[in-house]
Amino acid sequence: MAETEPAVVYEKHGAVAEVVLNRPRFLNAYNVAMRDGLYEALTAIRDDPEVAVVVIFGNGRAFCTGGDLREFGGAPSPTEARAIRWERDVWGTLWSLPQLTIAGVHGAVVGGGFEMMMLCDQGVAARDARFSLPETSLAMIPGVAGTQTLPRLTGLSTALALTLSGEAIDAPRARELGLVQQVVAPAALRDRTRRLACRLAQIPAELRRPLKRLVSSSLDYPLAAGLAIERRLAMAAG
Amino acid sequence: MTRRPLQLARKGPIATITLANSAGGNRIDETVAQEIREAAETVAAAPDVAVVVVGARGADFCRGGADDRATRVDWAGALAAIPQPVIAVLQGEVADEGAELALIADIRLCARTARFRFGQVATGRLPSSGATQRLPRVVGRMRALDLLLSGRWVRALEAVRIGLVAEVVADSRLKRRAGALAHDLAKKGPVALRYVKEAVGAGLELTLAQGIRLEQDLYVLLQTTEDRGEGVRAFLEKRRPRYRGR
Repeated sequence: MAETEPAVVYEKHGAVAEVVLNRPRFLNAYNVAMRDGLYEALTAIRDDPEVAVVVIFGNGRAFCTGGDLREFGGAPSPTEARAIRWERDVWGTLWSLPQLTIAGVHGAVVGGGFEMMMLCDQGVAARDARFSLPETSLAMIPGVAGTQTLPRLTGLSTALALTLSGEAIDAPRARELGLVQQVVAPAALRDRTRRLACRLAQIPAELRRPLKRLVSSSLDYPLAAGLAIERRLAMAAG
Repeated sequence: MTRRPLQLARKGPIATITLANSAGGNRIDETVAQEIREAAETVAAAPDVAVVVVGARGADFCRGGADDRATRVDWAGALAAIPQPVIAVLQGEVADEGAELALIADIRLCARTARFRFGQVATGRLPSSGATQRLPRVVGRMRALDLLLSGRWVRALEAVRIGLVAEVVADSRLKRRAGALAHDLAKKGPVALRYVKEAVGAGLELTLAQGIRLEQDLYVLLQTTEDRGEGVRAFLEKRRPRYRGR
């Protein structure tokens, strides 16, 4: 059955862009339409100098339940799938956006949905949010960078426990682990996330952009190299 | 038959390695080190082992090494080379080489009365079985230095707070909880479990972009397995999957 609603809704409110996952009937499972919608929205944002902060929400009961398994049967061969993955690199685009990104999550934050959040710069969770990476139950592994982002956020031990066991954590635990920075009442999720977005949008672009770049890439460099880059960028900004 | 200080048992897809010299505090001497290495190599080479559990008999998991001779055997390297997920089940003292052994596991469960210590420096030695490298990756650099320099005891609740263990359970429930977790993991795709371990472990040595490439290549490689198709079918048909490890 064709879906008439767009899988992704994109709106701009001044310096804050909102990207809303919009397949509520399917708990915002990620399918080809959502991939294309996200890719379009994210590349538009990347090239829009007016946008300072991006927030991502999900419509309906869940933020996002990960890949839509109903479409997995019709997937192309593994070699084609791999080629397409890098051709329309939605996740690389999200990660490398020059703008700050905030995920405002609620309900099920599962698989690729959880991983999407970990590619963002900040997370705000409704108290009812539950996070899990259940891929190994399906004889799969996370495929939206979760095996890489999670250990960098929580350390090796927690990352291995969550990815191997698939066990779910709740919003307060996610905050303890540094995966989200705020836990709020479900009814207040969008307001509180937008408030954070507006606050971050006040930071001048010439500080916001290099700061994001420095912190995001910090673990890629030996400390001495990272410090040298920081110094160079600080001189350029000052 | 005399009881060996290290036991390896198989039950279906779960292999259990048990330190069994509880009278000697399960200290790692040269014999135990040799046997740990052999047990690790045996399970690593067994394609039908999906999960490995490392535990100990008696009050203490392991009070450390026995003497310098044990360090000549690279038991830690052999354990770290196990491709399957390894669960450590920890009670009582988890000290020195015992703590280094625990750090090699992927998921650490401990009893509420367990306590941890990296006491090598306090006794005039350097850790030689991985603590200086694995501990910062698990708890962060500053905490790692604190624990290694002070040699202080860390109780279970602090251990879980700083990420040194994944979970603390009541002493009476430790064995049962470990068994349940091992069974739960054994129901998942066995190749996927190995690949998750590889992607997470190896990924931390790479830049993020390189790590994401590794993850994606393993993800796509899994698409060629029978288990992957079975997993998706079972999910859509709302039944339990039957994985065969290929």
